[in-house]
Amino acid sequence: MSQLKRILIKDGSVFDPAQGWRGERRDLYLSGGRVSEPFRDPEVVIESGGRAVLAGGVDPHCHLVHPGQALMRMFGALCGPEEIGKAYASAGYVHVHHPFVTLVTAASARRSLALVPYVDKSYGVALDLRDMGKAVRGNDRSQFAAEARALLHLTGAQGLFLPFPWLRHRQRHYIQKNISPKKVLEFLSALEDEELKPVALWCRPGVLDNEIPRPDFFHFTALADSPSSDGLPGRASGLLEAGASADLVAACEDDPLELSTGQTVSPGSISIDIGLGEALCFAVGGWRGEPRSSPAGEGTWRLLAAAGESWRISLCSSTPGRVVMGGLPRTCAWLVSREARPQEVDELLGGRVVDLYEIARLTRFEPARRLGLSDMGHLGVGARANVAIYDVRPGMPAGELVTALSHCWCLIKDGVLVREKGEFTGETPSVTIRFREIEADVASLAGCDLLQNPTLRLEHLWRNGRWEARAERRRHEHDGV
Amino acid sequence: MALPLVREQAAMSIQKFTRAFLEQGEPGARKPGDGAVFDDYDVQSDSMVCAGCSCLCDDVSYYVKGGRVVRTLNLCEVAMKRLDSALAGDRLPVLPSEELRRSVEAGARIMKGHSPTLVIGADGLHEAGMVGSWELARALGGLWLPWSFVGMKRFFDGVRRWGWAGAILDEVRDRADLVMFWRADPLETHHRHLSRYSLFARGRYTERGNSDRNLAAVAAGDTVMERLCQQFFRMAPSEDLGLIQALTGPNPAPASAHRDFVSLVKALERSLYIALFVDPEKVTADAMQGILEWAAAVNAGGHRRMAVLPLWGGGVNASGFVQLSLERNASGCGADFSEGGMGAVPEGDWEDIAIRVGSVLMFESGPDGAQRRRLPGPLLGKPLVLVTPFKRPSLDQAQVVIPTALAGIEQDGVFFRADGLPLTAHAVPGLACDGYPTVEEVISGLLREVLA
Amino acid sequence: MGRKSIYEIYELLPKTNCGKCGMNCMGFAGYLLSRDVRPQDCPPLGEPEFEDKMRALSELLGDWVKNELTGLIVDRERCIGCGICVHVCPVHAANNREVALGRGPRHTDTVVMQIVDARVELIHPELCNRAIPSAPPCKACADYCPTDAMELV
Repeated sequence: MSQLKRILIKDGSVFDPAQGWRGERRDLYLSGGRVSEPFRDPEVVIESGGRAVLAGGVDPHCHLVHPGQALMRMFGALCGPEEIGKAYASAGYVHVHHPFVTLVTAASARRSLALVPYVDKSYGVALDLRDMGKAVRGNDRSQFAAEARALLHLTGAQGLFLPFPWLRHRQRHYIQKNISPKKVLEFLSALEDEELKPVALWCRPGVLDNEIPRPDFFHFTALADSPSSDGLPGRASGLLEAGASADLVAACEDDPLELSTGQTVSPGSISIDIGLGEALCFAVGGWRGEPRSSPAGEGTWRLLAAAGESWRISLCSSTPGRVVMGGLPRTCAWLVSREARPQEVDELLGGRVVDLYEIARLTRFEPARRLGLSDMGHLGVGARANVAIYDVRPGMPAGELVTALSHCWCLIKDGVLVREKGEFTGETPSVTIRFREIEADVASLAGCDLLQNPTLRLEHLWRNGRWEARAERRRHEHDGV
Repeated sequence: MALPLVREQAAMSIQKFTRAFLEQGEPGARKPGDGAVFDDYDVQSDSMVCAGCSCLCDDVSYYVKGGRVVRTLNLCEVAMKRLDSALAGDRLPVLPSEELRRSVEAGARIMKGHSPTLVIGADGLHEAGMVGSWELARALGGLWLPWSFVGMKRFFDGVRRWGWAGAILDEVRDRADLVMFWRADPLETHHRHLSRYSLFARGRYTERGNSDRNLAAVAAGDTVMERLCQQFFRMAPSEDLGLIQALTGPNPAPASAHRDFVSLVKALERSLYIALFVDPEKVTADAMQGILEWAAAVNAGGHRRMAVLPLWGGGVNASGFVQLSLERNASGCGADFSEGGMGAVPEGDWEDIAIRVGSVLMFESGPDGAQRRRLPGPLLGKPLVLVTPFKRPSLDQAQVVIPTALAGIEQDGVFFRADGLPLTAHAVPGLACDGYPTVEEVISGLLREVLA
Repeated sequence: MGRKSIYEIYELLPKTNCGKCGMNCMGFAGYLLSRDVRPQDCPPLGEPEFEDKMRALSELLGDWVKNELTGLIVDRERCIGCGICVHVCPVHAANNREVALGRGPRHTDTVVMQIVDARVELIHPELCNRAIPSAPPCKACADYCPTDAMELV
């Protein structure tokens, strides 16, 4: 691991919504891997010369390490872990969140995440209503909360993820156990355990058609990913005005990797049942088989056009694909510059232009806040020393703007200089997988469906502070020996 | 009163009776006794992971006394043979450090002098050994291939064309109502597969165990699994494609007048989730493609799901090999670093490869005959460096033999279950180990010599 | 399933009805079938001229262990430790959720049988349905044993 140096970033235009800095020229002091108070005698001085200084980026939703996903490498539709990490670092990102694992696949995900360099990682855990449906049907909120806590505790996940807010059994004689989306959303909205919120809700088609009593209990992931309709922006903005948070997918038109779920699988795709009830499908091709005309979907642009300052929205990449991080920098560039964007996108945005302050909010501050990473996404004293500097100038040609946002001029990750003057320095920063500590009474739940159903014994589901399970051992002593 | 009681009880199913008996007891019935308690041991370990095959059973117990395993629980014959071989004299003696050093040097000299080297058998190693072997193959500019290379290539060629539908074993256990073993015989290679995952375990939607499932199998010859199958096809591999076409055609016609054909067609029609386990080494390339195409068609329909799950008969850690191979060089079945290559899969079969390679570095991790791990015929006669825990017939063919520790018994090692989930197989606590070097230590030594 | 035929056994006996075992050969075959005697209890079988039959008989009957309470005979040579018997046992299905779900019993579990050293071994035979006079007849373990390692008499 590289030695942490005392770094002074001089004269940068700093954008940080947490501090209210909208491009003010100021110095930043980094020491011991943290943003610190000013000090003398820095060991490294970075002359920013007015370049844009932001906190390291946080991608709140990127499907990185699902079982079977690596097979997409065979089709050239996915990069290897090294390339993924490098692409994130190039774009000035320091953290990526894998949306969900399951209780059984958590160890596999942790192993694969550990292979991605340069960025910290975290992940959510999928709620499996097949195991927890009894509590939902019986309106037993305390049991559900206890099991949800156990799920978080055992997997170390940052939060809960609900891929299917309904339960529909295909095996006919279990139909009586079906649960409607209405019931699920009402049930979850009434949970009193604040530590479980927000529950990330995957906005698949039809989800937003349901009434959601407590929008602030949820984080709507891939909010605009449903087929756009006239009602979508209105419905979505209503939820966001009510305090919900959301992420919007900014994928790349060249992105050959499509992710979906469902029972129907298109030929030639890779699909795998990992315990969600429906298969995860990876396919080669544009979004739903149609070439994209812009990085983000129509719904994303409409929502961004309408976004108020109080909206808790962030931008995410959703899939790494072959062109990792291709969509996010491009989306940011088009938001910042009317010249950079195509005509149709300008119409959808209503001519709106945002500044780097808003970009910092969408790609640093809000995603870090939504993931509970209180020491990231901002540049206040005590924050982790994750700083990205972009060579962005007012009036830059469009092509240069995209390049500048895809290849940061400088990146410091946890106080280690990873990129300097647009090139990697060869230093490798430490990377971690962020686990969340939450108390749970797992022992009393040992008999519940959630913990009994895996094919593995309960002790092999224990995180125990390491990524792999350890067997229980005990020593028997007899005859006083 | 006994007679009416018997008549009454006879109307009850066995399961209901057992429940009632255990809850309420019965006049005159026996209560659970103390049973024989085994207490003649020093160390007991529970929930140990067995690396005997890719079932990766995690419910094994070892009892160790005086540094020896004296009793085990939940270990099948495949694993027991491996354990016996490891502990009961089927081992090469530990090399003294000087001799070990000389062996490593000699091995490196052979590989450097007869390049490119084929590094084979990493799919039988634990993860650390596998990673080391990859690094070594790359440093040597050699080939890095699994035991199941031919089958893996066949499988992934099919995946590239038709895609692939897979599942973790939990889902198979929970949902599969039709289980097929296509030239894969779990009772030969994965003894506890049927009881833990695919047939007898009671899952979420298979609460009656095997009663909720239909078992079908295709095999070349006699197999003990036949008696468990509702449909059993004994036929040559060359007939597979015909059977698949007959099963998937618009108007299924018997491929032959096979007695179980119609029954299988009906089972397919009424099933909602088909789990087809296949040994890609034993089917023809056309049949492999046919199976994957079949699955693609079923899954496109949306009403049912068909998962195709390879049951590799070669290395224990074949799933881990696939994962590592994908991560490191975007292929599922090995790498070719020769002639400045960046790691693409070599073309051809063992004969073609034998023509190209100059020497072989072979890793072994299981006793002879336990699984299909013998040096392919075309490679016999090449200079051979053998890294193995066991005495093997191929010792006679090897110029250098380096004995190592065995992961999952004498050292910790990460293995991947058949469905790709990683688990750590720990060393058995309390075991008297003889000081064998680990595979990764040997590889480090070889790498140092190669790069020197 | 798994049960030998008395005629199979009889064919491998001397068929001299010498009476040295205390009965005729068919009777002896019956007792061999229920494992109440061993081939060595037939003196003529020990003679050189019947060496092949002794070998064939020993192979047919295997290395068995019999539990009198349940009538379960386990051929330890044929058992491969697959665990199918453990998981089909209705006592386990009703009583032990882990076993029902496919996981092996723990050493602390109260089970009828378990795989010990890769062979099935009876732990609590008194729990077996066959040990209870009024229980419905049960032969699940022998029915599903794929290697014919289990017989019920």
